[in-house]
Amino acid sequence: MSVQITNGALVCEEKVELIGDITIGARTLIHPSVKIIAEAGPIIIGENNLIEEQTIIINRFKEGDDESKMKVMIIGDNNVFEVGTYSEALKVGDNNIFECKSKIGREVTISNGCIIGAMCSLDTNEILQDNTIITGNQRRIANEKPQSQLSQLDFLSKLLTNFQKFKKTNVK
Amino acid sequence: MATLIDANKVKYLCSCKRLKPLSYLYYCKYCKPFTLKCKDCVIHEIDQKFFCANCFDNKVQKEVMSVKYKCASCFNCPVCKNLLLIRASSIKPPKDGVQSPLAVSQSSPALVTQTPNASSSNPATPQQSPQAPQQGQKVFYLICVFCRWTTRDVGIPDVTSAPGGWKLQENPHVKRIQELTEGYKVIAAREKLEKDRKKYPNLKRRSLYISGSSSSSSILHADKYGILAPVQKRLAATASIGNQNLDPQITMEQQFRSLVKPAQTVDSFEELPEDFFANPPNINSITSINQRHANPDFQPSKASELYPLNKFYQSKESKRCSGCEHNVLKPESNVISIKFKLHQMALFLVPEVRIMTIPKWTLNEENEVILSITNRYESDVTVSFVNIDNENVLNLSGFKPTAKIEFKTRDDLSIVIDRQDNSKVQQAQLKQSDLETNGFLCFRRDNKIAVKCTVTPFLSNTEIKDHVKCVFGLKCSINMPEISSPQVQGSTPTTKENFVNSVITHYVFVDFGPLRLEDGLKVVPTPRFIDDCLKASLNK
Ligand SMILES: [Zn+2]
Ligand SMILES: [Zn+2]
Ligand SMILES: [Zn+2]
Ligand SMILES: [Zn+2]
Repeated sequence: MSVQITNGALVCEEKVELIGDITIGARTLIHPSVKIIAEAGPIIIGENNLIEEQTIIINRFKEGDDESKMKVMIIGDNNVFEVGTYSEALKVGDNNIFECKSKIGREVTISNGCIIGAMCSLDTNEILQDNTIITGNQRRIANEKPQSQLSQLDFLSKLLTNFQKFKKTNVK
Repeated sequence: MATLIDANKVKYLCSCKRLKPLSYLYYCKYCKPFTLKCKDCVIHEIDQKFFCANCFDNKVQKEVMSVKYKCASCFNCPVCKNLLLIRASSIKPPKDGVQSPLAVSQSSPALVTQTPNASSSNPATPQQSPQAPQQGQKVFYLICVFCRWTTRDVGIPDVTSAPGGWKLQENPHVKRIQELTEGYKVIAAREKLEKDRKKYPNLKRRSLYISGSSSSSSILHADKYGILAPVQKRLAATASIGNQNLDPQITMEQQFRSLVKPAQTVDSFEELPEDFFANPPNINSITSINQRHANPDFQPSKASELYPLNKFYQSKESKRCSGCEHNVLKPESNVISIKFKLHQMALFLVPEVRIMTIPKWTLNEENEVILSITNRYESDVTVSFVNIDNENVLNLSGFKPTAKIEFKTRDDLSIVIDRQDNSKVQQAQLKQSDLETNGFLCFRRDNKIAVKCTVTPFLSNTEIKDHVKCVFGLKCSINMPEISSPQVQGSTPTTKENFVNSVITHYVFVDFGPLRLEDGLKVVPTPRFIDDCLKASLNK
């Protein structure tokens, strides 16, 4: 049970709760007031992810789950969790955007390049196709993956170092 | 917050016997006594000036009709109906070194000839890299910032000059529609002529059926006394369309048939594909009913057939009193302005009642409730409360009260509510006269007061889930500047404004919500500032 922060990742000190077995990949930026809770198994977060304020990422048992079976939650690379996202999804691929206050259930598998719109709640048992866009009460498949948020990530990484204290990294 | 959040909690009786929230009501100052008017009992008038709410392009009705009220340069998203924005991007040179035909055609020939050798021999020259902005020409496409739909999704080619020029769908039936409208225009013109002939039987048929310029000249000749001026005007407009086939021997139906090809009967339809029945629908690729109806020309059923929707031109609306035809609401004619030339909203005349507290209801017992009353009129208003037992009021409005509201105070008590004064900040404080009401009036600040009343719900067992609803009268006495009718105003110009005191009783219908506070509904306790106000007033 330990929190492993890879060298290059920026995890703010302020009000960030990391509970359980968590691995955070390089160049991932975690804003203040983020909760990442690994109750029902470890959480592995990839590289270049942007996790904004008040996001909750939680690996926890559903009612009726066999509590002796741990499952690993894997979040890929280049994902953006906007302010107030709540995610229980066990598998999240790459280049996804979770807009503000979106809510994802445990049974959903997010593939790559998906956008979950603001305030959208998805608690189905399905594998989202690549480049699915869900907004309001509609969904469709886009032709291409959303624009890369790397420049935003770079900008924020530079800016936040002036104002925030970061947790120490412990993995090279 | 009766006007802002839950407008339907407190309603007023309109002069047409409908119950409406105060924010939906207007008043007419010419009809005595001042009558309230709602949107269902005023005359609506549409401004002749049409404008696009996005680009503020404005046109008169004839012009917008010819473009079907659609703005040519502004579009809404076909998926979510939000506004589409124009986004620019530069063409990136392909990485494999083979220039796409698009890039070739759009890069300026001067640049290509400058370094023809470099570009052909080495694809990675700075000329082709994104760092050279003069090379990558800007292209524009439309994007919805809400759902991220772009014109590229349906394969609409980017354009090089914004705005406009996107290749949109063309209705395949355009010709037929035009044919039909033209046909009907001719018929309409002929009908009009025939009506005119009935109206003015003395007018010789010959003069009506002579075509174009000679017809108007012959009428001019006949119209010695100017009686036929309106006919003449209409004739001039219709003669050009209706003059071709105006032999009275031909019936209207025959004439129409000669103009319009009859519709063809369809006797076979393309059958639905097998997988329509066999496979479950893919919700990612079908459109919703709203999306289909948003584009009636095509009614796309697949998401891949969604095209940008032109934004519609809009128009401002003014409203008139149905009794005296004076304006009660008139917007400024400038399309960019959101102000009004005249707006007689009832909110600015009638004190607004809001519910301040909600108790835990007990049946058939008195429950204490606090109501607040706000005066938005430009001078002080004197109000008093009337308990209503009158069945007439209730019968008229179709309102069924389930509770009795009582104001336990002297019958003749009248309270002055100050006008709004933004120039100074006032402390919440009761006046000396307020203290004599024995706590009936429990709060006063600026133009707002609060009063305590008792509500007794008398629901039977079967109605236990019903709302607690009651009605009372709010008698308002205000000073209004006297309105003299226009004729009088012209003859005797007055320098001083005369104020007339007028007393109106408004019927206020309050819905306190369900008797049983369930599903997250909570008791709303007396706010602290009410006690503070009482204390501050007593300490003084
Ligand atoms: Zn009305
Ligand atoms: Zn426009
Ligand atoms: Zn959209
Ligand atoms: Zn009137």
